[in-house]
Amino acid sequence: MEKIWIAILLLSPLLGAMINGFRFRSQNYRLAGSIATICVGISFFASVALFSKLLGMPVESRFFNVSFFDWIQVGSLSVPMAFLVDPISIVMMLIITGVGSLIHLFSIGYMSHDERPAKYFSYLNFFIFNMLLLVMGENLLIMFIGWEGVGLCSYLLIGFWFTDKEKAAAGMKAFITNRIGDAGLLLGIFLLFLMVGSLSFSDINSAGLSEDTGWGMLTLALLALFVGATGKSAQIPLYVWLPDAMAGPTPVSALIHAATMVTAGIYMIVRLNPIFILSPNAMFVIALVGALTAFFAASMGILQWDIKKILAYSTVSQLGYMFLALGVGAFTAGIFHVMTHAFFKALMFLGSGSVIHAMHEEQDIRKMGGLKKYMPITHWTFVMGWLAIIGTPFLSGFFSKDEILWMSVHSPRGSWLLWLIGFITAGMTAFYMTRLMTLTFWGKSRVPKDVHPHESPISMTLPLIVLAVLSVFGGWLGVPHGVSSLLPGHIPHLLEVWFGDLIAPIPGLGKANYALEYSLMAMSVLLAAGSAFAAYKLYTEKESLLAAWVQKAKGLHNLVANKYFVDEFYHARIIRPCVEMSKALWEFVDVGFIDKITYIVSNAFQDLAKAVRMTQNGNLQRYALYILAGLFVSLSFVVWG
Amino acid sequence: METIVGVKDLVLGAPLLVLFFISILPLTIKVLNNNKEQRPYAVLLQAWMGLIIAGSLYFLQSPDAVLGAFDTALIFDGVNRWMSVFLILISGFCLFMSADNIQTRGSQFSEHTFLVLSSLIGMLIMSASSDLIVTFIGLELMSISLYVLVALSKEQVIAKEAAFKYFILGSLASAIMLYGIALMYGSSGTTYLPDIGRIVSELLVEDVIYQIGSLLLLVGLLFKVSIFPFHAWTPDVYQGAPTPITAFMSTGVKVATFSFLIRLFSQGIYEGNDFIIQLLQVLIVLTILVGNIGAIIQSNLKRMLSYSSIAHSGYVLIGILVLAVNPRDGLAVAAVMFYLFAYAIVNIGSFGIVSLKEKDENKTVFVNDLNGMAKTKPITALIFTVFMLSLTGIPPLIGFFGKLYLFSSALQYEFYWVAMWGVIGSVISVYYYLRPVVNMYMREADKDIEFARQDLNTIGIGICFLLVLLFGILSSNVLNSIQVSL
Amino acid sequence: MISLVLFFPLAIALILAFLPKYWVRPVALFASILEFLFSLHFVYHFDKSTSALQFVEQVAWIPQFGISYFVGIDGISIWLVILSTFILPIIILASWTSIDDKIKTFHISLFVLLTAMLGSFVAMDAVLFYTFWELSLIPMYLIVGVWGGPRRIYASIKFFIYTMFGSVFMLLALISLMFMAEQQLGQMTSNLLSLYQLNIPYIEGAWGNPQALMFLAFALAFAIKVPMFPVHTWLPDAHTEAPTPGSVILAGVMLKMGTYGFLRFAIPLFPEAVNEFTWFFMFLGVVGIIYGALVAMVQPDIKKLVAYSSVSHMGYVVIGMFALNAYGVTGSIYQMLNHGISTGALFILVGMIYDRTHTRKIADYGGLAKAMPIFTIAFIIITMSSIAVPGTNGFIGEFLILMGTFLSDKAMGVAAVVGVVLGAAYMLWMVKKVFFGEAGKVVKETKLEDLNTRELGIVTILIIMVFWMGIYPKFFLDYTQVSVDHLVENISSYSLEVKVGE
Repeated sequence: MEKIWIAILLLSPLLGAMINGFRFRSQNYRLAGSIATICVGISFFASVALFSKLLGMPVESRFFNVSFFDWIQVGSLSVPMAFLVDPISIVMMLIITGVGSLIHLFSIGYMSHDERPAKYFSYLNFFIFNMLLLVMGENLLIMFIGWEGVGLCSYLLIGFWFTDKEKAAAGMKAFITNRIGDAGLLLGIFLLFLMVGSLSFSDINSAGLSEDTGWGMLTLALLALFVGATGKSAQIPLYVWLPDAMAGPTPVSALIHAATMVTAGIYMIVRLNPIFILSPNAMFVIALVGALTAFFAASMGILQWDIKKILAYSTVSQLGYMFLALGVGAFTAGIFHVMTHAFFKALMFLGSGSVIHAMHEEQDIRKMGGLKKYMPITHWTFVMGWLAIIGTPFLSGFFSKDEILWMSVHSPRGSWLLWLIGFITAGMTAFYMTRLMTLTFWGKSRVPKDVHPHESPISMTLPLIVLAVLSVFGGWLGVPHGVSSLLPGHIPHLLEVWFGDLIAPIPGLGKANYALEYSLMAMSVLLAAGSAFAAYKLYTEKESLLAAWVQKAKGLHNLVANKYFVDEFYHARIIRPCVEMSKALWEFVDVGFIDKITYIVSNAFQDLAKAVRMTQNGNLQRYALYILAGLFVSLSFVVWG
Repeated sequence: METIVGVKDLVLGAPLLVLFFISILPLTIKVLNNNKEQRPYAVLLQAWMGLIIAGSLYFLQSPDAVLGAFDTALIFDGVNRWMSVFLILISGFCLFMSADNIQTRGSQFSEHTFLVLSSLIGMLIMSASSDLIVTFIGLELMSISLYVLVALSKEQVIAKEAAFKYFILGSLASAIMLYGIALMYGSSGTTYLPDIGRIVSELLVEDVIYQIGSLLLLVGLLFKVSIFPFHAWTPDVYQGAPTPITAFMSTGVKVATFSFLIRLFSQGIYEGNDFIIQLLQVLIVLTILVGNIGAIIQSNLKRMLSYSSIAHSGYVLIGILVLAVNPRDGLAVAAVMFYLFAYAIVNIGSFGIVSLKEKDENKTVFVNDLNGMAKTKPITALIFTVFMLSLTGIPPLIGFFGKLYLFSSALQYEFYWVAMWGVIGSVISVYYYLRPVVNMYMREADKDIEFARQDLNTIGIGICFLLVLLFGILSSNVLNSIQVSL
Repeated sequence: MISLVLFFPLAIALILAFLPKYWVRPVALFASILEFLFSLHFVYHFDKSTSALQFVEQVAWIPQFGISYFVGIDGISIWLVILSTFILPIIILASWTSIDDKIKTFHISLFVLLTAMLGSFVAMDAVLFYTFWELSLIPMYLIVGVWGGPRRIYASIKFFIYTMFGSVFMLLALISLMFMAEQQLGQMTSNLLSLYQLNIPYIEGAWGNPQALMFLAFALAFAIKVPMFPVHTWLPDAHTEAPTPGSVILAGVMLKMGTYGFLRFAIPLFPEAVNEFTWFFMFLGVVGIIYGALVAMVQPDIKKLVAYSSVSHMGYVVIGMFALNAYGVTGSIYQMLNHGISTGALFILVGMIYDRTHTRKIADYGGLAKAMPIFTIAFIIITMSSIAVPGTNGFIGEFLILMGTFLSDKAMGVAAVVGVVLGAAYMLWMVKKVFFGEAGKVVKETKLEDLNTRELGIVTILIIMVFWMGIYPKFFLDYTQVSVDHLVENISSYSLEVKVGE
């Protein structure tokens, strides 16, 4: 029975993509949009049905492992086209299809005056299909299909308006950076296959690999997988593509670069958490990279003027938090933050989409302000999102972020330094998010004369409202133990219960010291409130004070404003030398060296030929001389030789 | 001990005699009707009648018999039978060509035919003889008639000059050879090859006089087949001579000389003579290289083909080299004969096409005269390409199998370096053999190419083309019949 | 049956010679489709469970030297045969309008080339293989030389001499193998099955080490044809100067003769030499991959870029083979097929553009997507297949190759994976430059109409193959599975039997 559900779940977005694909020229955005939304809706209902089926099943056998056909069968590697639906993947599927359908609904309105809506929806559906493949794959290879498939779709969607050179370049940059990550992932897959002999998750997790405290093969494999994750989920070395990916339509940024694709790396690590636990060094590297990414991304987010760029850096920063959680072993907290982040970040991206739509493609917040009165629904839903992300108590952001901060200290794998970086980043997050709010919605209006913003139609505001509700009440799904003991009656950490033994416990995890937890929580709430207030004040009344500070810290301001010159560094140190080298290779090795040799050889033969011609000058006596000389030489050999 | 000419000798010598009388026939007819030249086709008819009779006489001999005539001065064994029939075929084709070619048609055609036939007789004697003096007679008869033939061409300057050169150098080589024969006779007491062969191993190996003599003999012969130091005359003479004669010289002379060389080496004259083996290896490699490299920049088609014929003599010499090591190696002999067969067919065909191209008198054919021929004359272009590819040694054509058999016999006796250079030579040859193909197919013709109506010649070319394709695939049958006759 | 498939094209070539001009193309197309259907007979009757040779035909050809007309098909060569017969109708269809002068000679050389290629894939006798190997040179030389671009004569001569240079040394090695057979097996033979029985002396480190020298002679001939790194410079010239059909058949099938040669001759015949030189050839393969990719990045001309991409792809095939494990060898066979399809398709597409705009400079292009949307979709799908995006055929091949390489030599595996990234880089860079961005010189000046039905038909067939081989590769791999395992397991003493009776 569930085989049919899974088939429907997977094939309906593919079908949608095909239908829209073949009618890619049609301008009828409503028809194309509704086909796409319906298909994703079908997948959503199918996953809800599967979810309810899973609920009814006993804990230890709570999964469906369905195989359709043998995909690759070579040597001892046999890879069936099989799908695994278990508590972890059902959560991801619900997020993808749920948030996905909301975003599809939103895009109908957003793409109303685009000249290729059907092509857009076909790519979007194809993306959902690939993302489902990624999360439902029973083995690393099927996951890898989805992995590169979503990379392909993000390439197509980022470069959707391909007539503009930068957008096309951003698409290419995204694909190639992902490809670098995928190369790492491939190496990880090979190493794992070397150790375990099979690629399916259940075999790998239950292979009983030995703990690897040093930098053995297992750690290298996990780090290779992590390189793949950094590529896809935009961590420190390979995050550069995400801010440029904002060149794509905003719903795309919401779906791909906030809710789903970027969480692929986290999903993979959670899926393989039993073996990640075995290598503390790998975990440490993940935590450190996560924390650093969070910190730097947040700092960059402060000085951006493009509304989508701010949200992009905020996404990179929140992803840093998730990896911090995974690094310290709090896998449930990681997945929980994925979920809550999906809600409020998608909300804010869609909100910014509706703002941009209203402001006729204007993305620079310096030309906005005071939109509160023109766009009430967008404003209030945006406020909900804002409250959630800065971590106001009892909203979703608060539960998930503080759980991470707490675990970064409490877990044996964590450390005070990690907590401190997380803590400061939380403050910065509050600062830049409030700055965004004040500059767009509250402060005085700097909207240019000819632009008169208006509220978006219901098809765009409805998803905003749904997402706002989810952002507010989403947090109750995973109430941390510390908080639940405060509140009346025992509210279980639903996610923990739901995942059960799929998540390996952190070895040596002590009893929670509630006092410390509360004090840290209080500190972070205070910091958030303080920096939010400071940001509000700075960007409404005290403009002059802000300008003074900027003057004083000229160097630092310039550095952070230019995103630490990372892009320029990559270009100067990696891309240009690479191109120069290939030019040199082509010039000197191919044309200069190898072809030169062939020329030299052929010229040598030409000269030899001329030499032979010289001996043939038609002079009779000379010919006779040759004969006698030949004779003389051979005779001398005979006589004396 | 007088030797009287018995009936057996006459029967065996019949082909030669028949040819002799036939060769005189056109001259006498011309004299009878007071020096008025018959029509060329009539003369041709008479010549062909003689050739057919001679050829059939050879076939009458039972395939594996070894018959000695004139007190075994002439031995008619398997090799000789094949070679003689082959020589007759070659001269037949060349007569076809000369009947149509501008330079040889015309007033002195009967003299021309007489000389060709007498040269053929010389070749037959040479390939059959197993006595040094008789060989010398055959060689001289062949060479002198060729000297005159070269001079006979209508074309004024180059032909006369070539003939003169050929005469002077030819006689120099013959003198050297005669002196060699004299020395060999002095040291071994006989000029009869089998006797010399028998006493070579014990007596003569250290005898310096014999060594010098045999070397001089070899030099004389190598000159005839234009091996390295003695090749200088070939390009000038081949270019100067009228095309049919060049074809006749480049194929007939080689076949006759090599068949005698086979006889010479298989009698063990040079057996165990390490110096000769080293010398031959060096000469082979140098000949192949000089022949191929020389041809690279040749723009004149005939001159290019002459350089290529030098190179091909180098390849054939490999077979002779193997015989020097093991005189009784039947496969090597078969390989030499097969290669000569393949080479001769292609050469006659290609010279046939060159003579087709030579419409007016003194017009020499340059490689880029063939531009765009594929468009106007597709069939001739195809045939010429097949000839060129066979010369390069591209399978499945006959040239490849010739080289294959020769190289395998070379490798069998560990002559790795010789095989290596031979192969490199054929790679070099790709460049100049494909230049005409490039011109024909890949370059546009500046003016249209039209050929003179030469149907006899075209028949000859057609037959060669079929033989090249056919015996490429069926090379084993040819090899078989050759081997069976050894 | 093999002889029918092998010599049917020759018969067609003969018939075409006498047909009037306007009949040549339809008859050629019909005959090539017929030929493809004949070749499907092998797929249908192929016995997947055995690694033995099937459909064997043996007739003595030159008994004195033990050379026989000995042909057969096994798991390794079956798909290459099908690839050749599959590609030909597509080429004839693709060159319907682009080749207009001397079409009779063109189609004749195409059919002779097909016989030569099929011959080299089915020949199980060393001399027969050599005959077909050299025979394939002439028609290709003519195709490149007669219908090629401006520098066609230089390119065709270079192609001919490069390949000829390699193969003559192979001839010498082949002949000495025959003599070794005479010493060890009693009578001289060039029959491959008996050659496999030879144990060729392998003197460690000695200069005249026979097995190593012979292996290198064979390897040189095949390396030039593959082409591998140092001897590859003929390929870009040949490709840029060749007409579209010439490039397609050159890249599609002829490069595979080199890699097939490695698999059939070099590796099984000389096991010890292979073990010693594996790292060297893998190193050359990896260098080929990275070097090919890097140089492709800076090519101004689309066709040269695709040519260098072939050098890179064929580098993968080589390292796959020399990984000497089931994954690597299966992957390399599969990659041969993929490369045939995807690079063939790329050349066809480039040809279509060239017919419309008569320029291949990337700089002249830009904004093509707006002018020719369907063409852009087809081009992007084929690009995805050539940079091995999962779901397309390229991924299966490259994944297996990389896995095989990694398992046999980690360092080479890591270096090869870098090639995956570079591959994506230069292909997408080219796609961006040609298709996206503002309308370039070409799009502004010429009126570009999108694909017509003929072109669309060709492209659809190729795209169907790309996805079929990507989504359900098991159908193809089952055929090669047993043969490859047989090759990999007893690599040190490889022997092949003949499947008796139909």
